[in-house]
Amino acid sequence: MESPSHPSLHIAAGTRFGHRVGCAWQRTARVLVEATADVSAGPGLHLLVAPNGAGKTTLMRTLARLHPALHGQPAVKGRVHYVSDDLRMDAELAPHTLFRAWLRAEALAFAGQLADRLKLDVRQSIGKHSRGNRQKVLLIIAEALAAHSGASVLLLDEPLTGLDASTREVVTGFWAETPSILRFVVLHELESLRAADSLFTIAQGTLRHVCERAAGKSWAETYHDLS
Amino acid sequence: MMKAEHRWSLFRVCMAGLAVRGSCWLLLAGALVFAWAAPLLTPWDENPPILQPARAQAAWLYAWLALFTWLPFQAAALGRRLRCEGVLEFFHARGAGPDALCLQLSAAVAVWMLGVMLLACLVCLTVCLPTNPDEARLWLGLVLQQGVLYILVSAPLVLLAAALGTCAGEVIAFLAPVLLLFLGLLAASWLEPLLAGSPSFFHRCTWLVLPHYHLADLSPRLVFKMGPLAHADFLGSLSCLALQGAAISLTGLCVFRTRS
Repeated sequence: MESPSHPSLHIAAGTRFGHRVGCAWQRTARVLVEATADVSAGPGLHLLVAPNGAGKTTLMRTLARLHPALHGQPAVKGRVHYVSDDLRMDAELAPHTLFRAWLRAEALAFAGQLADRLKLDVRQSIGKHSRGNRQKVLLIIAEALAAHSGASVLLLDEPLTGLDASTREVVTGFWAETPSILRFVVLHELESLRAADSLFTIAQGTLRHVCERAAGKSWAETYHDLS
Repeated sequence: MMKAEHRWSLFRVCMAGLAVRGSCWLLLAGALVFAWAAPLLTPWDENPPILQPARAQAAWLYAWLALFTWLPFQAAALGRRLRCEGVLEFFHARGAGPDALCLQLSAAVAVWMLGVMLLACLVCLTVCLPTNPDEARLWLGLVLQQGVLYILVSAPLVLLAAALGTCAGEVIAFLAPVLLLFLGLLAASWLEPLLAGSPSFFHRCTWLVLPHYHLADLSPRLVFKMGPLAHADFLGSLSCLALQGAAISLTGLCVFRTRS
């Protein structure tokens, strides 16, 4: 299969995300999110901000092809890397060993540079690292794979959780430097974000998408206006 | 575009994770220590020539013990851990199929199984090798047969334990292959007269579908230096174990789950 030159995401109007609940012979659809208009996104940083339980993770899992859509099928072009909020790596491994086992030359060098930039001690086992440092390991792996896999779609579920303010700055700065990747990010820390290309939100079960901030307003204020 | 990751990256990550745990290296060291020390606990000095075949027997006994304990336990624990930690989903979302993931996962444990098997062969072919060239040739054939049959038994069981670890609790994932091994290796000698010779069709069918791992245990031939199995007998054992192994592997692939 020919890989696309640019990553993209398209959700057609009428696509519904959710679960089928009940017994196997009497399943009913429980819709969490519905797209009422066509939604598209290309390379860049796209935020998904919504209240707890609105269906963000279900939407992400559907985009990652880990969960079927209830109706329709979102079109995701590019190699998907899904970092869920419960993803963890082997606690006994040091990040250095993990990177060497997983990544090839260029991606490995990239991971080393990013680890330096994020001030991660790669020789200490992951289990002895703090919550924030363990999150850095996941981010480094995902970013290294995405940067060296052609057209990449990086789905990140709350990637800044546990990171201190200065590391958040470094991460969001890094995202701004590498705009060729399509990053679809569930985020609650809107104040730590410098720039984004669009904002998705889920309001009353409907997927909404804005490509520009409201005039003179931050992304946080734009989100509050939408919800 | 350069490839970002190694081939079989899940296998490599799992291998790295197992290698940093000391128990793997203890398992391998134990294989040599057991083969050396266990025969010394017997009254071997009354008949010193039995020491060499006793060492061969101890080496293979250790390999079977590993298949009853460490190997299925590690496979079950690894499957469970990778599923709970979301690693399998991460690979699955990146396009890796469940079958490929299951094979990589179980291969990481199977490497240690191969290590134990190779050490048993090494013990047999070094310290236990007969000095007579004709006997040595027969001995070599027998050890190779034992090695092949051991792999045919253990590889599917390791796969089953790893796969069950991803969809059930660790205890079930550990006990299921151990129970199969117990039935096929130890209980078969008690069950055979009851089931195989029974006039009941149901009993005979039960005997047919039971695992026949007793076919893979050539320890008596090693101890009494009986030489390798006849070609037809070996092929019969090989076919039977390969068919049963394929059925167990398919079951494992069917129950494998990636969802965290």
